[in-house]
Amino acid sequence: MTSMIVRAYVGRGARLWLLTRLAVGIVFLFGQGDPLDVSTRNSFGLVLVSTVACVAETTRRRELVLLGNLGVSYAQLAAFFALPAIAGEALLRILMSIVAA
Amino acid sequence: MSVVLAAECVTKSFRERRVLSSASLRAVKGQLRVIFGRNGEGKSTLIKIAVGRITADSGAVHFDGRAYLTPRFHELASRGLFYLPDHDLFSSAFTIRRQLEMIRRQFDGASIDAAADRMGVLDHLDRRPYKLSGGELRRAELAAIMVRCPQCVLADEPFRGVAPADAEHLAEAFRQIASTGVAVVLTGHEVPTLLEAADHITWCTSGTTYELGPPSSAVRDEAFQRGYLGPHLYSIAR
Repeated sequence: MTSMIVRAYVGRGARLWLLTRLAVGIVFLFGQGDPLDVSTRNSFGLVLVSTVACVAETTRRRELVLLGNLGVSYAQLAAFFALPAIAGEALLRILMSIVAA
Repeated sequence: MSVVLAAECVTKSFRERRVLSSASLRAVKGQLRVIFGRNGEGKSTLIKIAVGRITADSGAVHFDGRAYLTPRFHELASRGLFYLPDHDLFSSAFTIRRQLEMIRRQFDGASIDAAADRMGVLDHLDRRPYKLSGGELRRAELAAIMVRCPQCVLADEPFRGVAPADAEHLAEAFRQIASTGVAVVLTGHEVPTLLEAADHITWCTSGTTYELGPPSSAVRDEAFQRGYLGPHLYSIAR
């Protein structure tokens, strides 16, 4: 897989994870919750939601045939979208633990 | 005759509706084959099954010497298949050049500028697809095939929404692609243009396919005349 394809779709994954994080944070803020909740359950849900949002966006843009022609499988595509979300959640958790210490 | 891709004895139903009962598709090296058929007769379904976009109820797909009971599109594409769907190929998220560059880098393909120049879309490379007209998009898709240099191309209605003169230009480009040894299969309703370009005609009707041979034989087939061409087009095609 060339870096050009990986960058394009990992970039989309990162952008949508960030947007999902922001949206969830705002909802938590108004609900008197912790906007930076990094519990395992919350992080898992965020990774799932942002990956599903990426797949929906890719389907909406009718990119699945282009990606198939490039030899990209659905599993690879899901990995491109999930990886930045997992990395982002892990980074956030590390930062929160440093701040708490 | 070197068959690159074959979908044999394919059946497919959507709920209670049987679309294909025993249909076959063959892509032959260096040949441009056309599948004709009325709307809803299963041409697109047959092509989608052949490329692995949907799964057949029964039947097998052979590609590049391998047999697949459940072919997967990305796997066939990696081995040299290129599929043009009956909707736009390109994503609205990136410029045409960027998408052609992805294809070129992934498969060590041909020059983007040369392909775009040949198809007359060199000036549109740095635009996003939604800024191009239907005819320009179809030509850019042909440029994508040229950049990819595949073994086999399956294109579902590649002339949709283009003027007759542009359809002839596209048909000529498909002919040139086939002349380089690529197996090309097209569907469409542009009868005079496609009959002139094709090496072989397949007729898809009532869930099955009939191999009618070269266009000169196909237009003499009485069932094909009655069931698809109609008397007016038959006289033009002759």
